[in-house]
Parts: sequence; structure tokens; C-alpha cells
Amino acid sequence: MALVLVSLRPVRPVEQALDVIFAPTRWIAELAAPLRWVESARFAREDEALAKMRGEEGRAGADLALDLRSAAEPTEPALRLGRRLVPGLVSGRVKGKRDSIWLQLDPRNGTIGIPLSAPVVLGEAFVGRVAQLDPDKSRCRVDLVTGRDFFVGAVHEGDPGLRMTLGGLHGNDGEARLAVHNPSERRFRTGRVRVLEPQLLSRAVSHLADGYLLGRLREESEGPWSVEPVVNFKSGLFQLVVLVPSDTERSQELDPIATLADGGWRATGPLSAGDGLHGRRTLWIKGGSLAGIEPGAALVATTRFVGRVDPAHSVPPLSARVRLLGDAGLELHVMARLDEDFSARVLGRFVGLGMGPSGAPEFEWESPLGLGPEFQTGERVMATLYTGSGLEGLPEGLYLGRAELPTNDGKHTVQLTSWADGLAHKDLWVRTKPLIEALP
Amino acid sequence: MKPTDRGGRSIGWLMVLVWATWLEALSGWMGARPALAAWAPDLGLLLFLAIAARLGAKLMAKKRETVGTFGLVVAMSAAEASVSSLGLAPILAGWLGVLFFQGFWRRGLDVERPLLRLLIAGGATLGLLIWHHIVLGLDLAEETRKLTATVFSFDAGAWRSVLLTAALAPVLMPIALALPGVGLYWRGR
Repeated sequence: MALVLVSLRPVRPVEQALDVIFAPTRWIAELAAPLRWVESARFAREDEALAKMRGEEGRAGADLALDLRSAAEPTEPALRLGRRLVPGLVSGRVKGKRDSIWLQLDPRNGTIGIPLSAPVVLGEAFVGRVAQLDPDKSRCRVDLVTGRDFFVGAVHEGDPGLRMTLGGLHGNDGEARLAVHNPSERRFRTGRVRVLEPQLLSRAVSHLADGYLLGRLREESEGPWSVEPVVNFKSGLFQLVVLVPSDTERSQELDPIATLADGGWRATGPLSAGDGLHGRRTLWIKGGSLAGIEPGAALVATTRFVGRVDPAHSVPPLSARVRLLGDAGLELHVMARLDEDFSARVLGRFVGLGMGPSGAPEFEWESPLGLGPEFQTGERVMATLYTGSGLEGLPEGLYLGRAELPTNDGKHTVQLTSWADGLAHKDLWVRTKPLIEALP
Repeated sequence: MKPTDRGGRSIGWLMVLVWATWLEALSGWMGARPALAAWAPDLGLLLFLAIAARLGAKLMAKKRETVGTFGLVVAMSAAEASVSSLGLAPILAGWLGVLFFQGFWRRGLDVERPLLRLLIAGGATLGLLIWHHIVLGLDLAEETRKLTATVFSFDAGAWRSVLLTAALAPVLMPIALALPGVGLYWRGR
């Protein structure tokens, strides 16, 4: 009965104790190695094929990440004036706080020169403010404007007389719209609203956000107005920018280190040949928590993403369980390079639906904003997909595969092609701490 | 070496572990191939049921024989843990559940008759399938669970492996008992 209770409501210490007791299963798994030998020639061919594309795919992922980093910076000179732009990478949501995220800064500069309350933006859109600094991990906590206790001053773009306060979400209908509080006038006007912090805020750093876009004002059938944001707050935040005063003591930002070249990878190999449970696609790999492998860590075959170490459970000491592409429920953040115009796009969250009838992984993709007005209704475009940041242990820029993407907003099923199957490779690498972060 | 020796039993236990690992890995290998996935039988379960049926019902109550049953559950759990995506607690609970299920049928019935083997194997596979899906569902967030419900549902093809496991039980369970070294574990108990 106790085991049933622990199974239904996992207790981390009990789970970890069982993992330690059963740690020798890592060697028991080796007993089944002959099953993998049967296919070793195919594995070698698959590895060789990937090795040939290694440089090209690695560079393409890094270039896409660089493009998105540039896209996260505002282009309007007025929005850059008197400000220094500090790029950061969303590394995950803060546990227990849905409307707060961790923003990873370049460890070479750390959190130096980042003041509390510094605004955080994405392009010309306001996203939130720095709420906490974590210098040990070179990251800061950002409270998003969608938070219930978040407030920011705003003004109507075309009518400076109409002021209001924004913060939190409007209603509970699942649509992400920002709530409007205390408008200075009752008469509704359509148009966009931008940040204008009240003068009584003595800290100049808050005023760095003045002029940044919040969204389009909308009249609600019942109750007060709301604002449709221009950013997908749920899963579209990968690369962001912190605004700091131009006279900051922070040194100039350095070029980012490509994910595949940052030394944060450890060679590993498969221990199992598949999962007998219906609908599951998992793999056990060599190396566990003792080798520095953590829940959620990415697994690549040469350069291609093949899966993540199970983020829902602790990692046993000597081996790790990986959820592969094609495992139902696998969650990824995805960005893409469109074939049509070679543009870089943040797609957001993909949730695995398992293997499709054609034997390829399928995902559900909720696209709240669509790919843009430049596409016709119902048009589909081919794209190369890469991982995006925002999930623990999953770095950005890893090749995922090719897919045909619907361009309109809504929920879509996306099927991957040209993807790498983790069960067909021996040359596997698992994500650990990058060298720069491991240094004292 | 005699099966009743402590050394003989230890070797028998190791052989059960080896065969269980092989059978679990084979089920996993089949489950990962799109053409075979829907038809992968639970071979480890058949080995487990076959050996458990030979551990005498009355003797199982005695202390030394519960060690035999415990050893079987540990061996099967270790073997399954080396390939499965489940945590250890649900794996252990699953095997104990199967043991109780078989124990229920043993009251007054000979569970080694072909028809009962078929029924028990089918019932146990179905029970394990439901148990695994309950546990796996808890790993996923509410929103994701709804999305993947169809993948894990019974009509997505899981019934085929239940039927196949049940159908193979009368044939494969006697073979499982005759696997090299396995007899050292259950003979003489």
C-alpha cells in the first residue's frame, strides 16, 4: 500500500533512496547489449551520416540563435537612447511562480551593473522587470507583466491624455490579455498603448521602459478594458533584453559561445533498446547524477536533438532515463528558420503526441499569434526547426528536424521529418554544465 | 549443484534475473519498432507468472519461502527498471499487485491449467497496463495529460498486446520454466 501511495504521489527522498538501492540495474542493462549489437551496423551508418552534416547544422542553429538575439533588441533609435542593452536567455520558469522567469546572463559579465527593477523587453515590447539577482548563477529573476501583483504605467499611443495602469491578466477565459486598471478617462479609444511610468517613481531605472509597446487596447463586453499583448507570454519568451542606464559599470557584451562548443556536453551511450510500455519512446543512457546529469538535460546524436532526460523524476546515480522524440507528452520550446523568407521565428511550446501513423514524431503546437500577416489564410510553409531556450537543461539552437508549418493562429498538429531517432545512434552526448559555468 | 542448496538457489536467482532482463529488453525492442509496437507481448510477465505459480502456495507463507517470492519480485523489478520509463515504486507495486492477483486465483484452483494461465496472464497484463497509464498520467501536467490521452488510451492499440500476451501464456509459460538455470530457483521449494 505504501508503494502504491509513493507511486501516485512521488516523494523525492523515497524515489532517490530506491534509485540508489537499484543503482546496479545500470550493469544489469548491459546484459541486453547483444540486442543492440544486432543493429550496430545500421547505428554506425546513421552516426556517420550525421557526422557529415555536423558543421553545417551546428552553425545553422547558432546563426538562428544570433538572429533571434538581434531580433530581441529594439531597432527604433528613440527606444535605445540613453540605455544599454543586456541580452539574456530565458532558462525556465521560477518554481511555484507562473509569472516569473529566470533570465540567464552571460557568465563572463554575470549580473554586474544590473539594477533591481530594470525593465526587460523583447524587441519594442515591454515584458517585465528584474525582481531578483542571483550572481552565483549569473541569472536574474524577471517578474512578467502578466503577474497578478505587477503594475506598469501606460499611455494611449495616439492620445497622450488617456493614461492607465496595466498588470495581471484580464478574466479567466484562457486568452492572455493584460488587465487595464484606473483609466484616466471613461471613453474608449482603439489603438496601441505604450509604457509611461508615473513621475512619482523616483528610481530612474523604471523610466527606461517609457515608450516600449504593451499591446492593443480592446473593449470588453463586460467590465473594464484589456490589452492584447504583442508577445506570446506563455511560451514565446526565449531571448530577452534587460535595459540598464547607459552609464552602467558593466563591461561591453561579448559574442555568445555556440551551444555545441561551450564544453557542456558529456559523451554517453545507450543502455536499452526501447520501452515496452505502450505509447512510450524512452531510452536509458550511461551516466547518471554522479556524472553531473540533471533532470531535463538535452541528449543529442552528434548535433541533432534526440531527447531530454526525464524532467519529472530524479536522475539515478549511474544511469539516466531519456524521453525521446516521439514520446507522448515530451515538452519542447521550438524556434524555426522559414524556407520562404529565411526569417528566424520563435514558435513556442511543442507537446509530443507520440509517433504518427507514418512513424514520425508528432507535436501539438499552439500558435496564439500565427506566423504573421504576410502569409495568406491557410498557407503552409516549410521550415527547419531548432530547440529554443526556456526549459531547464535544454539549450537553444539544437537541430530538431524539418516540418510544414501552418501560418494561421490556433492549435495545430505538426509532424517532423528528417529527424534523428535516439534509438538508432551510438554517438550520444548529454548536456551538463557549460565549462564557463563550472569554473569557480 | 542441487536446487535446494543455498548456492544453487543464488545461481537460480541470477539466471532468473538474466532471463527477465533479456525478455524485458526484447519486449522494449519490439515496442520501439513501429511495425511491432502494437503487438509487443509482455514476455517478462509470463516468466514472472510461470515461476510464481511454482512457488508453493502453502510454503509461501513460511519465512524462507517469502524470501523466494521477494527475490522474484526484486529480480523482475530490477530487470524492468533497466528498460522501463516508470519509476521504481510503481514497478515494485505493479509486480506485487500481479502476485496478489495470481494468489487470489490460486485459492482452490490450479493456476497452471492452460485456460487459467490465459485468463490470469490477460487479466494481469490489463491490470498492469491500467496501472502504468495511471502513473504515467500523473507525471504529466493537466494540460499535457488531456493532449496525450488518446495516445495512452486502450483503443489506441494497447489491447492487441493484452490479447497476444494472454494467447501466448499457455505456450510460453512452460517454456519459461524450462529456460536454462531457472529451474534452480523454483525446484525443491
